[in-house]
Amino acid sequence: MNTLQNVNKYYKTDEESLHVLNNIDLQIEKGEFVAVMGPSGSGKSTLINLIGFIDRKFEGTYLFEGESLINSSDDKLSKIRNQSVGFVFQNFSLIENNTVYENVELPLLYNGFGFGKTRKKVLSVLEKVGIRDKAKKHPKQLSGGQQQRVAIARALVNSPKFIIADEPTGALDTGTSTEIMELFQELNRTEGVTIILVTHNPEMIQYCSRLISIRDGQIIEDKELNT
Amino acid sequence: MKFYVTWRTSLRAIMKNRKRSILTMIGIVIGIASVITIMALGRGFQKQTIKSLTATDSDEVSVTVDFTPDDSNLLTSNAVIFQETDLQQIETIEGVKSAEYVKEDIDSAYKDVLIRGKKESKQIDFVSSTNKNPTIGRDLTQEDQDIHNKVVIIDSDTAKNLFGSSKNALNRAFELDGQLFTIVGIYPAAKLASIFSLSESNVYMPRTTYEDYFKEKQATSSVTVTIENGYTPNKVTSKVVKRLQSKGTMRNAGKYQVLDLSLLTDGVGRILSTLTYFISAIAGISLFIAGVGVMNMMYISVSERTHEIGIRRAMGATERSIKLQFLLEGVTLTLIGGVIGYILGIALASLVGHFLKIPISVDFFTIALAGGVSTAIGLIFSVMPASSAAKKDLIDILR
Ligand SMILES: Nc1ncnc2c1ncn2[C@@H]1O[C@H](COP(=O)(O)OP(=O)(O)O)[C@@H](O)[C@H]1O
Ligand SMILES: [Mg+2]
Repeated sequence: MNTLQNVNKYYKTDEESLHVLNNIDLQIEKGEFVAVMGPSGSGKSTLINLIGFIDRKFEGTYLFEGESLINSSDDKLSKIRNQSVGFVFQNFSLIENNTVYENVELPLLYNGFGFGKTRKKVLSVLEKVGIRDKAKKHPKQLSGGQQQRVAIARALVNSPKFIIADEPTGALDTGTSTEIMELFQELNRTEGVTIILVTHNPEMIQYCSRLISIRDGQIIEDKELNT
Repeated sequence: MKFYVTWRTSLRAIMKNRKRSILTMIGIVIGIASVITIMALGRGFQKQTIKSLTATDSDEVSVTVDFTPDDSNLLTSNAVIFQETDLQQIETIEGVKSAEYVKEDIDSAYKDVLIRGKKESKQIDFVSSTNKNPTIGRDLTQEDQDIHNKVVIIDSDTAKNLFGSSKNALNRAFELDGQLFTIVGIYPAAKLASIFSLSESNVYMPRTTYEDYFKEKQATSSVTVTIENGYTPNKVTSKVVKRLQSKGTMRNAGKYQVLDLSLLTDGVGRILSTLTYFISAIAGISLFIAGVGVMNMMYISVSERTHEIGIRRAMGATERSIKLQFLLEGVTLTLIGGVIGYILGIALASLVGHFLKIPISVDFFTIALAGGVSTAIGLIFSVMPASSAAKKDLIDILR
């Protein structure tokens, strides 16, 4: 589904040029649960932002379902982000002064839904992540784990082709992290959602089906995990 | 995202950032309120002044043409100054509706009074009774009326101008068109209520006396020319004067002149509307500053909400819909501000108008102005912040 061929990325600061991604070749298939591991600064976020159509300044080829989108218009890329990708961030990235319901509703509104037509979908994803009763709350009133569930519900609401999650448990304690990882695993197994997840916590990879290790912008290991 | 959805999103954002929204609106509210106050009061004042200056309520402008002879004896003689042929002449001029002798039952007139060698125009009222309570001397009495007494009472200003002080003026002679009248009383001059109020008279004379000495002679010495709608009074008047100067019966014996309130009205009206526009221009500048304030607030809003913009973009918002959202926020804010400002302005104008006794005038123009200006300000001053919001690089704001 996602194919990266010979992808390189540089950050040019003043006089030096930082080689953040070095000759990345990668193929991700539907239904996989990929863990991207590596030390801080190794280029994990850079890689998945690129996969999630947030960053398109790179060299090499990235094919999504066989199509290169590097020269697409903002409208088309926005539409793909909206309909095909679900985002979960380390800091949850919820809109603070909107309610849980409004936060989860957001991708549906950008998908052309009217205000009256979102209710069923929003409530059903909130149900799926187990916080249906929190719909009217504001993010500040929720615990970290609950906020991340909101973010996951938001990522799921448009039934995306894949979800990218950048250290979704990075700000959570161990117990909550386990709950979130179990939720991801369940979504992957029962709903067949493709997930690409960044973590630098080795305990988290037991939930995943594949492990990609990165160091200094290079893939040093890529293996299937049998769970 | 549908337009309606974007608009609701903007409204929601305005409601959820209430404090900032109010701060953004304040400038616009004050700006629009002051413009509306000025416009409503200014126009009301203008209408009122013009109405009080024009005797007739109609839109027709009438001009009085006077004849000033070189030899003032001419007026005291029984010579006919304006003749029928003169009137016919005037009526042939384009833009003139009619030319008639000045109607007789006038209550007051402007007459030239010689003050220290200079002619000054003074208003003289012809009255059947007075109640001026002179501080020096006496008021006009019924007896004065009955015996057609050749007396006047004058105000202290005129007295001072003529004789140095009010006291000196008592029992002195007051000359009007070659006739002498005894000054029997001096009353305090009115403080001018407004620069445009002309109602206070400088001289009062018994009506009966006036009728004896002036009525007949004046009958032919001035003519009222009514100007047709759509013609500029100034132009028509100067044509009339020119025609009289070259063809008038008395052209060799003196000068034809226009002494007229309507022209004054014309000028006063112009001054007032210039004044209104001038103050409006100042208010316009304050609106511009309010607009810059809006822009500033919008920029702050954009930078404060960078994270939100990033989230929206990641969730599938296009550059266009982000831009539209912030534009709509700006326009909605200024429009609400405009409406509040309009209401406030009208309220303020009513209040001030109530105390100054000026009827306020609300017309479609002021409403359109308030709405148009506030929308325009919202649009113009939100475009740049909205674009800057839309142009933010997604990768930079999500880091
Ligand atoms: N916008 C940027 N400009 C310059 N350097 C950057 C930028 N973004 C990331 N980097 C650098 O690129 C490297 C990889 O960053 P990142 O992908 O965030 O690492 P990770 O997520 O694995 O911790 C880091 O050394 C970081 O400092
Ligand atoms: Mg990172």
